[in-house]
Amino acid sequence: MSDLKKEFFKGIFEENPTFRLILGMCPTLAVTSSLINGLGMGLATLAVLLCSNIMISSIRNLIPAKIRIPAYIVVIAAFVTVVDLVMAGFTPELHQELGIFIPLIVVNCIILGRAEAFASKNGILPSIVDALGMGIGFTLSLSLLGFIRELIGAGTILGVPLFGANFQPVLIMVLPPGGFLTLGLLIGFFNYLSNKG
Amino acid sequence: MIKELFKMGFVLLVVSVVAGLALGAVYEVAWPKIVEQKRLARERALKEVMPDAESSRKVEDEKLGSYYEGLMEGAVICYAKEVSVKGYGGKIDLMVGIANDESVCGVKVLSHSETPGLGARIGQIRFGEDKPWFLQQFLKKELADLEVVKQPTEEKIEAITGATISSTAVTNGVRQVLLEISQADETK
Repeated sequence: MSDLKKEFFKGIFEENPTFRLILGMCPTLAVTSSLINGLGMGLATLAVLLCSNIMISSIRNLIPAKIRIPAYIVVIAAFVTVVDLVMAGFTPELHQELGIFIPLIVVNCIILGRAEAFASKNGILPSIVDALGMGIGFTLSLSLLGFIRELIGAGTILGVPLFGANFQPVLIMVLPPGGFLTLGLLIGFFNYLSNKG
Repeated sequence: MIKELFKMGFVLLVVSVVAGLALGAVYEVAWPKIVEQKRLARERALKEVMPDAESSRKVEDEKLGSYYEGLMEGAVICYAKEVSVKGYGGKIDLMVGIANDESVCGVKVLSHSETPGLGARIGQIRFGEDKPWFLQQFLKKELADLEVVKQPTEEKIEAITGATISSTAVTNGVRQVLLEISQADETK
């Protein structure tokens, strides 16, 4: 039991995909201009990661080692397409906002990374826990980035203005440079925390 | 060696077939929903740009392409047409409503890829309000008023600070539809 607990929590802090493993930088930088976008992207990735980890863990003994990567990519691409279709049908606003980044989950290195490094070597239950930990870690990281960038760059949280009419937002924070600045500072902060601890 | 190749090919085939079948099943369920969502979005846009119309119908015209007529008590009181203009970050798709007296009765941004915080404010709704402030300026404007200026104005269109290109693009789109509709009206 304590092993599973460890697998779960490693994704949230110790091996946080965004701040510690530095994986999946493309969606991280691109979509986190607001809290809701970061949260939506994180949850979409969590759904795909969970499904692909379960599937890959359950077929891991049937796939010859030499063709495991193409087989994994087919599995991941299928789940991403499912998420894309479901979001287009049920949450059209979020789907339009996230746009091109949903299909790009296919090449998000976190998903293939967990499939290769974890799900292909472990049973279904640990793989589920690993996917949940990593997925939640990714979602929290993206939400944190989105929160900071939206707060400073637009003066709002979830579209609700916090500072009154005279607040002049620091626009650069919701533009691409703000993504790099926030990410860099947060990675530095997490490095400081882990060096200290 | 050959046997291994066949085995690998077979495994990949099975994986792909299963994935394809599963996707087909999801598609069957999701596609009607997606079509429905698109129809709803279009209907909402039509209602928004033709607020006085009770119902609307689509018209195909050889010269104009497809546009919509807004009806009240059986008579056409306004028109709506989609237009695509080039903004700062790419295409801006607009739905523009024109009343019978050749004034603008509604503008809606259907999709755009303008810079967040700058050009993206063309469709922004301020917190606590229910209509986008920039687009509200177009209401009741006639052709001569559709000009972007950089000072606060009642008669013309005030540009969004830092987003003159996006503001001009939207204004040009509205102007284009207004011209098309009024010219079609004259030839009738």
